[in-house]
Amino acid sequence: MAAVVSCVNRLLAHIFVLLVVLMDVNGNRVKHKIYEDIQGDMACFKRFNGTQEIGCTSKFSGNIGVVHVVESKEDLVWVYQRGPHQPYVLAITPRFLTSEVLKEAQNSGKVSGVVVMVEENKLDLPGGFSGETHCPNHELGLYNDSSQSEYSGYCWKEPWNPNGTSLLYMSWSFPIFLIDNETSINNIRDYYKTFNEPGTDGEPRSWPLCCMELKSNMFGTTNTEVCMRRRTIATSVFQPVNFCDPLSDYNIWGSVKPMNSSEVTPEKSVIIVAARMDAATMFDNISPGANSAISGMVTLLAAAGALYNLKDDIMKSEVEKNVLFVLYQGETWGYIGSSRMVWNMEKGDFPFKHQEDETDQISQMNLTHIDSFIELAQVGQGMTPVGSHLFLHTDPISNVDPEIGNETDTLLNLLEKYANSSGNVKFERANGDAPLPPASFQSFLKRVNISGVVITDHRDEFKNSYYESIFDDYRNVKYTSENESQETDMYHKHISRVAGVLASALYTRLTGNSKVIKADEKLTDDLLYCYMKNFSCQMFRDYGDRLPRDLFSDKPAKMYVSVKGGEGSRTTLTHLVFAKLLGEKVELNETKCKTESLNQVHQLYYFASLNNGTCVMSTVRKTEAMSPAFLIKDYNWQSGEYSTWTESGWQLTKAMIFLKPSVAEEVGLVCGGIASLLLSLALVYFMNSRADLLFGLTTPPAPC
Amino acid sequence: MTVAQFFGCALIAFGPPISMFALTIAKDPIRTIMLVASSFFWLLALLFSSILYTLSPSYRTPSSLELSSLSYFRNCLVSGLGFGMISGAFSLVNVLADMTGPGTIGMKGDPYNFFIASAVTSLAFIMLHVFWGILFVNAIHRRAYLQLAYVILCHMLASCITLINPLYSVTIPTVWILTILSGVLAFIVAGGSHRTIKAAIGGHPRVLQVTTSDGNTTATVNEG
Repeated sequence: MAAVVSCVNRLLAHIFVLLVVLMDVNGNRVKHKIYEDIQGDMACFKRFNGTQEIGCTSKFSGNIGVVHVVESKEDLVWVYQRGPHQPYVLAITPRFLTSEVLKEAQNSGKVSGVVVMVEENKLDLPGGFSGETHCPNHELGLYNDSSQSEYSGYCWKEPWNPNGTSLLYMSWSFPIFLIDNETSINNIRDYYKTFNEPGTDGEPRSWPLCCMELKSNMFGTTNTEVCMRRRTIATSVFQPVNFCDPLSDYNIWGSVKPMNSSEVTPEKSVIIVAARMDAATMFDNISPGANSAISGMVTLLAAAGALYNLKDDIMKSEVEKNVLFVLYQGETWGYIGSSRMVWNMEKGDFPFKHQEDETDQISQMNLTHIDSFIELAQVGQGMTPVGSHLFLHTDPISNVDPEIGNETDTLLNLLEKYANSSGNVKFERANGDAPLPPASFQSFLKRVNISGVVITDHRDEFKNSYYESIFDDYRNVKYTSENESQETDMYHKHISRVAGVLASALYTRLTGNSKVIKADEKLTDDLLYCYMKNFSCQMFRDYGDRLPRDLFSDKPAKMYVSVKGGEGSRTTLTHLVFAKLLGEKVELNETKCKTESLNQVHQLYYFASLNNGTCVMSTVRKTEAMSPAFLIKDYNWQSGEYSTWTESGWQLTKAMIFLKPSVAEEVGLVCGGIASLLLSLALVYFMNSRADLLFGLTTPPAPC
Repeated sequence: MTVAQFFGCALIAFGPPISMFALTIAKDPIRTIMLVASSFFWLLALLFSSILYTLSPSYRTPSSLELSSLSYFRNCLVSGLGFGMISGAFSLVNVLADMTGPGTIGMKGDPYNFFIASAVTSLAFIMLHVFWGILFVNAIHRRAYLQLAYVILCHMLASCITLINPLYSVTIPTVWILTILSGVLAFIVAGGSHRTIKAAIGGHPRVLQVTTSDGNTTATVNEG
């Protein structure tokens, strides 16, 4: 019996300790009853170029305003004409994310912030929306206004991107946050209904009202010149503050045949096959770029993989041609990656400066080595019910040269031949008298006359009505795979078909023989799924098993170029996948599978999760993609020669929702407090000064 | 913005104790030490609530200090105030700290008047501690057990009634009725009555003069 009692006692003691611990953990501070955090990681931030600043910033301590949910035009009118409790934070649906609405908000002076609520399930999509201008990258392209080219005015008459709003390039005096978290959106709507929603006759509600604080204070200001200057001063004098950093990442590239410095690379022998791998939106942490970047990028990777499967034929061939597959970074922001590669080639240090003492060294490449240029731009919306229909764009200026014109023609014929033989791919030549659409190829054509083609899904204006916007996601390209590999999805078959045609054409250029090559559909589908739907997919986790777990999120890949030390996970994973596709297995264990120098012809990559450890030898490597503007001494920031885009630094972005009391209540409380103090002062003074009259009479003092 | 709420509530709750401290205690170093000591004892009590009852009489002042009846009650007040301020601080500082942000309470269904109610309740408890101090020490001194029981029961009642918060319309009046009742009792125990109030307000200048100089002299001699 005693044992039982002591047992029960011990149990009770344990339960008590457990309860105490639990209560401690659940300790509810008053703060948590006042404030509700709202998703705040997708804020609009500031960027700068040589002459201007774009984007948004909040005040240092954050912007506060009364929440007003905007579902219709009338709600906006109500805020501007009737709303007495300014400033307001407008909670809008994507339909209202237009420059007109934002400009009106800015000019009214009654708005201190905007949140855009994007609900996954009831998407209120605008008919077309692009943050870019009508002519993306026009200023830094081949046909810019100062180029004297007869095509410089073409885009303004026939815009490539008619849905362009230029929203990305505008500067706002208030913070703008994007929210896609369901709980956060529901909270905003619920609290708005309970506290703020005006009565049926538009009668405004009285205090306390539900308010929101948006905090996204940007450190940089004015333009790149100013903030780079400040940065230099700050690093040399104070604690380094990142006022702004150049947009920067890595170009990833690899050649089919190894390029050794011991062998001479013949002139006009390298066919560059390029795609861009970055996209952008106004907001941090979201840049899906499904058509604008991923479509071309995955086609390139699939073609590279398919072509490299036939490496034995290619290596045996006597034809002195090589293919360089390149993924360019930062192309959205004035062709950063391609202009950097051209700059390095011109300087004679691409990919690296020649080292005298090294034997195993990659050979240098310059502009004269380039044979032709094939670029995969947006190809995602070229899917037809029966197959694929894409357009081949060429540059009318360089084609004037008969030699280049012939080369271009040969290239187009070759592509068309394999498209026709595939049965369900149609390559159509775009208007021969139109300039190239925005493409990395333009960076090369600015410096050298070469033949080339840009493959897109549009003949004239973009088919992509959501170019560089948050809506350019898997829905935009009609990708339907729910999980990795699904037969019903047509999109990955489209991409595979195009990749197959490209690989066949390249095979012919490399070997002189004809062969119809099919790209691996499973690979294409896996890649598309990983980039567009779930970055922490099985494939990426296998390839990136040495990377920190927190790089993987189950959201779409963030395609924004970012800054040095910024979002590197997409580049790192693409690099690894690319290396595997363009590499061969070698029998080396984990410790031996290491490359000593980036200059070496072959780079070694170790994949611990593939077949219990695989060492891959590949020519794939990365080189820096930062605009030459930041490397040229005393560069003239206004010259417009190279991209000058920088991104502001910031501490954190945060949003929360709470109730705010009326001013009358606050004044009343302070007055009450002061009254309490003064009254008590008077009373205590009175009691002190008359203490002996009040107390002293009845009780005699104690005797000494 | 709602820094206003912070100052308002802080002044409401701590205004009266600050006045008492500034005018009665601050000028006397020993009383200041007593105040701090009693606060410390409250903290000890918080930690070892079981030892509370054995420790609480120990704030009796050292016998080497001979005191007039007036300063005897003042010392009770000082100890009580020490208790009250630290308990008030503990009950309100957390709330005050969270008040400084831009928001106020009520969004998640909590009562809007939580802040002001907390401040007013804290003030009542600070004052209650002062009065309880006077009554308790006096009760022990005179072996007036009924008075002792009143203090303990009153403490129990005032503390327990706050458990039914946020029914502020019940708890605040109850606590304040107890405060006023205890205040009146403490006043009477300390020697006050409606006559002394009248005398103090009316001010009998001549009697006052004599008594004051008398009292003052005694005090000076004693303390010297």
